Amino acid sequence: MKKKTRRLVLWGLPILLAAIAAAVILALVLRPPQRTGLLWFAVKESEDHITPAALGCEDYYGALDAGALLDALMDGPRDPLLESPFQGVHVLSWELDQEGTMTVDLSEEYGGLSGVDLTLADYCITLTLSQLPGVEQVRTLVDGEELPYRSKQVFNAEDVIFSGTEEEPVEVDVTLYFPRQDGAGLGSEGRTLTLTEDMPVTQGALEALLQGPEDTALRAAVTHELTVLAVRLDESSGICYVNFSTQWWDCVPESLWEQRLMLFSIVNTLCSMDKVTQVQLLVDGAALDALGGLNISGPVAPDWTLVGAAD
Amino acid sequence: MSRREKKRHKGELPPDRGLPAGARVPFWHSIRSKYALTYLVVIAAVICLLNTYPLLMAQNMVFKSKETALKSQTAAVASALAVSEELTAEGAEQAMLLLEDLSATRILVTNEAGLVLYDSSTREDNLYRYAMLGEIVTALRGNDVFRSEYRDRAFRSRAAVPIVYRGQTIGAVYLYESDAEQAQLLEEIQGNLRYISAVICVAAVVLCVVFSRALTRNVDNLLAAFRQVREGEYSYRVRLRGKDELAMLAGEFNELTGRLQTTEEVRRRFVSDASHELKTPLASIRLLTDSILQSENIDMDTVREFVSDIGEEADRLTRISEKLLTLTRLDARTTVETQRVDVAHVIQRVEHMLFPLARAVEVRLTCHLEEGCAVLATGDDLYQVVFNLVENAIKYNLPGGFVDVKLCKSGDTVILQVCDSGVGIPEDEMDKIFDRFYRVDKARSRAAGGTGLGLSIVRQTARQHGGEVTVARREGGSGTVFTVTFPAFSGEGDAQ
Repeated sequence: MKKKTRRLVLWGLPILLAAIAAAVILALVLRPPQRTGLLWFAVKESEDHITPAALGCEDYYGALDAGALLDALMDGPRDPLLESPFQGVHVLSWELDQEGTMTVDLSEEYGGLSGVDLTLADYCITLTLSQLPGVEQVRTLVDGEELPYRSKQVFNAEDVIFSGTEEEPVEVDVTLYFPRQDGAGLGSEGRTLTLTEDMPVTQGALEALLQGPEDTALRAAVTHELTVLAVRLDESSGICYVNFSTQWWDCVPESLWEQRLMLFSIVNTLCSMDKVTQVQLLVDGAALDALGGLNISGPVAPDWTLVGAAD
Repeated sequence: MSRREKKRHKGELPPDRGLPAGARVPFWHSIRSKYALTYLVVIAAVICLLNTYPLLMAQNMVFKSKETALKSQTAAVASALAVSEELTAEGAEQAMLLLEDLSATRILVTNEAGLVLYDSSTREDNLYRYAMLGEIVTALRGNDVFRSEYRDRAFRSRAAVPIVYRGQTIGAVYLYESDAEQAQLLEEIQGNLRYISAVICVAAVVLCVVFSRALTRNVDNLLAAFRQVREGEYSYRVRLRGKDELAMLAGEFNELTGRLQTTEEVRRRFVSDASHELKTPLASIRLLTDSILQSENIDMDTVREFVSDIGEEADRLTRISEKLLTLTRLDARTTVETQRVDVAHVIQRVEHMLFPLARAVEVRLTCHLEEGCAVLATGDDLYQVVFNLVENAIKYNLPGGFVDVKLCKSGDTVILQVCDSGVGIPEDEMDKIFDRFYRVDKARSRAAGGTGLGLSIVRQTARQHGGEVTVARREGGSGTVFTVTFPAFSGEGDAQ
């Protein structure tokens, strides 16, 4: 038995090592090429479903220079789900200036594109070339001339929206106004809210206000639980209508000054946003009469005099 | 034959002997488990359907309603915007301000190149950016688009239509709506359905246990009854309520057990009678031999007489044994190898055999035989039947009497009639004479060498061959008429 084991080890070990070495070499030789960039093309329309984005990309493994990228673009996509918007088009020349503008001159076939097809083609070139260091924006010409019917001639990678993004949270900076701890007036607190399209900025800001301040020099505008039923901005008039639940009555402080601070916490916060000039408060759909000694049956304008020095 | 059965037939699998008697049925093989499982599977299927189909239908209805609403809104917006050849941001904003009661969460308006001219979103400023959304590109190419999905607790719908002015697409309108209220409603419905399903599941399990127990209780009672009877308790009867197949099975079981009990009693009586009949001649033999042995000065004539009596008792024992054997063979025989037998020929043989006996007791034996009376039977059995009937008719007759044997055919039946002018059988004993060891006049039977088994053999043989035997009083005088009927055989074959 011992002899057998020794023989096994003597013969087996070199074979095993050789196999491992061969596997490593094969892996190195057959390893997939490294991606150097992306090529952008239009997404093929399907009868069965609508894709969220009209532009899509595929991996690019070639040299990361303008000529190679443009040639690869003109050759068309390998991905069957993508299609080339440059049918019959070829690149005449390309040049990068010192301001970072890459000018690409294309053949006259490019001039046959119009409308959204032209936009798709422009952005395929822009997004692809924007990967190159030093390229800030892209201009496309046809036979050395600009297309006169196009509203923009220079394209930027940041100027395109790919999909609805309604469900993607976006960070929005808002300013919230809370009563100060000393009760002398209102103090402001900057807050970054993460919002989806379901939650308007006004509603998001109001919800954040009701949660209370993070700054210890400030205190909550509303001390009890309060539900916001609806927030609607009438852009034409700039009036923001806020409908609270009947919990409002539990939240109203006894002191008139405190009531005023509570009122303008809400009004000033909302009016600090674009397009909001006044705020109409409602409780369960009905307008309120008075608060803090003020008539609030109609829209209320902000009172910036209550806002003290910055914290 | 199934694959398993074929394999068993070939010997590749051991024979399926089932469960041994008295063994406990494994839980997963019992009828109760199978019934319960079937019931639960059906309920589970229904509950799955209840929790999927209505929700899918409700979702589809919401999608349809969203499609209608959004398309209508996009059409209204597109119509409001299609007022000039070129769309501008200011024109779009003005038009949007005039539009009210739009339920959309977000509205995008672009020109024909996809440049955003209006965006209701307050989160980001997309004005003069290019909206390369799939919906907008499709709309700019002239097609209306709608898609809706239920995701993350909200119905998220998107619609886009081209803005067309005088046949030219000048832009596109895109609407996005997120409806959490409808989604919440749907979730509430889903929650209620789940709650109802849970209640139904619990109720189903309880009812399943109750019903399966009720169903299989009767089966258990029957099983217990079978076990009782198997142990020898033939008097046990099972009582099952209801009018279903199990109650019928119980009725049949009780009937069967009753017959078993009767058969057992008959067997016991037969064994008792047989043992008594056999003991009697043996006792006589014992007595006679003891008398011979214990008598010191017994004369030879007496010895001869005693030995002759011993011989007669031995003959009687032999006859009883032979007839018992015949009966046993008849009892055990399930199939009879029959052939065409000419009954007249058999009767003639019997007449020839018993003629000396008839002459000896001064009884006139006559036969009236019709030609062509053939039956499908065994020759020996038929001979036994005729012989027993004619022998009895001669033995239980009076000097100067007669025995008349008639054979005729009526339709599909062959009729054999043995009529005698003998001592006759009382009316109240006529149905008992075919019982084993039954004798009307024990003394006369014993004197005539009877065993009490002859008529039992006649009846059993007749029945085995599809016939029947009846007895009646002879009209116009004392005596008995035995009538045996057999199905006539009209086919070809060698007659015996």
